[in-house]
Amino acid sequence: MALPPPHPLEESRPVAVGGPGPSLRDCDSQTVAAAREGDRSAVDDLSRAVWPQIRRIALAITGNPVLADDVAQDAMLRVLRALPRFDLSRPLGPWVRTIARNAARNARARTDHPAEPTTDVGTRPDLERAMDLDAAARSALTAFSGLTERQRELIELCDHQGLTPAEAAEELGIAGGTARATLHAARHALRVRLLADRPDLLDLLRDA
Amino acid sequence: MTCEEAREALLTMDPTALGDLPHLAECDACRSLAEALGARHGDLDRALSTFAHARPAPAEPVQPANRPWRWRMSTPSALLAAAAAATLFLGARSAFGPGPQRPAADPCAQTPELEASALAGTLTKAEIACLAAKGTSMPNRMLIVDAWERGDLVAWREWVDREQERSIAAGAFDPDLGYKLALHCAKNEEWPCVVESVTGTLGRVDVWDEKTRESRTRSLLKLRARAGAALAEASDDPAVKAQAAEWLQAWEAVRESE
Repeated sequence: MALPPPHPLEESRPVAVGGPGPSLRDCDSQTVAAAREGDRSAVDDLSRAVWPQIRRIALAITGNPVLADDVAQDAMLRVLRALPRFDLSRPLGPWVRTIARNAARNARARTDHPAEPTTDVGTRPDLERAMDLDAAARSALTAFSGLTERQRELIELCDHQGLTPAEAAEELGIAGGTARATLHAARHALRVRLLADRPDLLDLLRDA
Repeated sequence: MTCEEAREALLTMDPTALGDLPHLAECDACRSLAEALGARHGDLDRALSTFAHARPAPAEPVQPANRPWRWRMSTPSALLAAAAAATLFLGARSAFGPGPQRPAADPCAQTPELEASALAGTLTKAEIACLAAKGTSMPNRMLIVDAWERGDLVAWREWVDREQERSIAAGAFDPDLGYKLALHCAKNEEWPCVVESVTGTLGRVDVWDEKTRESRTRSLLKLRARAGAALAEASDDPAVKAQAAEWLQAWEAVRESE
């Protein structure tokens, strides 16, 4: 079977997700097709590639590691269930992210979760242990969680997943100009927050 | 480029290009700023990557709570039949076949693989025990799917009941599950189950979009009226009959308004 050409985005862009396991780029349509046919190994490969993507989007939407942890499990199940309906000619990444995005929003609606973000991972000690974050990483995550949902999504898509603002806009269903302006504001807000413990540097920025 | 222009750029430029400004070679202050921002972005990337690859956390125990929406006539342990609701709730059967054995050391460690196994109805006893010990939503749902796929209706019923208890205790009753259970129970003429599910679900219709809310609310009121009528016919209790009349009236009001 001739495989469709890889989506340019997934072929050429680095995916800034570290850690073990295959990335979405490694999940070609052959793997997805095999998973749909019930090939256990392909299902495992697909699951390992999709899992980090789902978790990152869940965190970007919810801004809350504890809620995102539950959302990711829900979204993973949805991806596996929806796999037979996936169009093999389409790139996997946007499809997976859309499922994760919907799962996150549904979960938040169901639980009436407050809009205010939190990184209080200590409310679930096992999660805190699993993440094992040092103080600097924890502080950076707090800064990220302090952004609005749309800002977090655009930071995640553009600065971590490697999408252009235009591509992110298309995926989110917003205007390109809106995406660019929001991303601009998001980076500004994030960097000011990231430097909250460096008043000397913040002073430099205020001069700008 | 002036310092002012450089700092403005540093605030909003692509994080991977923070060190690329030529101005940084000639300005120590701006270079310090760029380096600090680069380091903090690295901290954030590390945090997000760590989270992305973290295994799902075991859940804190959830204390069962009273079921405020349970109708007084219900007999919970005998009324929620197994069978079609799992299909309604979780979709069609998976095509995934059984796979290789997984390591037994930590049966809950590989969540994506566990989910695939649940869809195939091939969770091992150790995995089932491990998921059962978690008690949160997704483990419960995996258990529900797995039991249904295996055709173990007794286990399926146990997990459905458990998930309902959990979601109510957490203040997050799942209206989708409630709605589908109500439909299922109505098909089997299990009227107290219908009343329970409808009553719980009607309290959560706000999570649905307008179109869904409208059509499902209509169906729920209709089911509740049917259930009430059946229960009233089988009971001599005036309170039951009065309640049934009230539900019938509510349904008729909806029907007449269309």
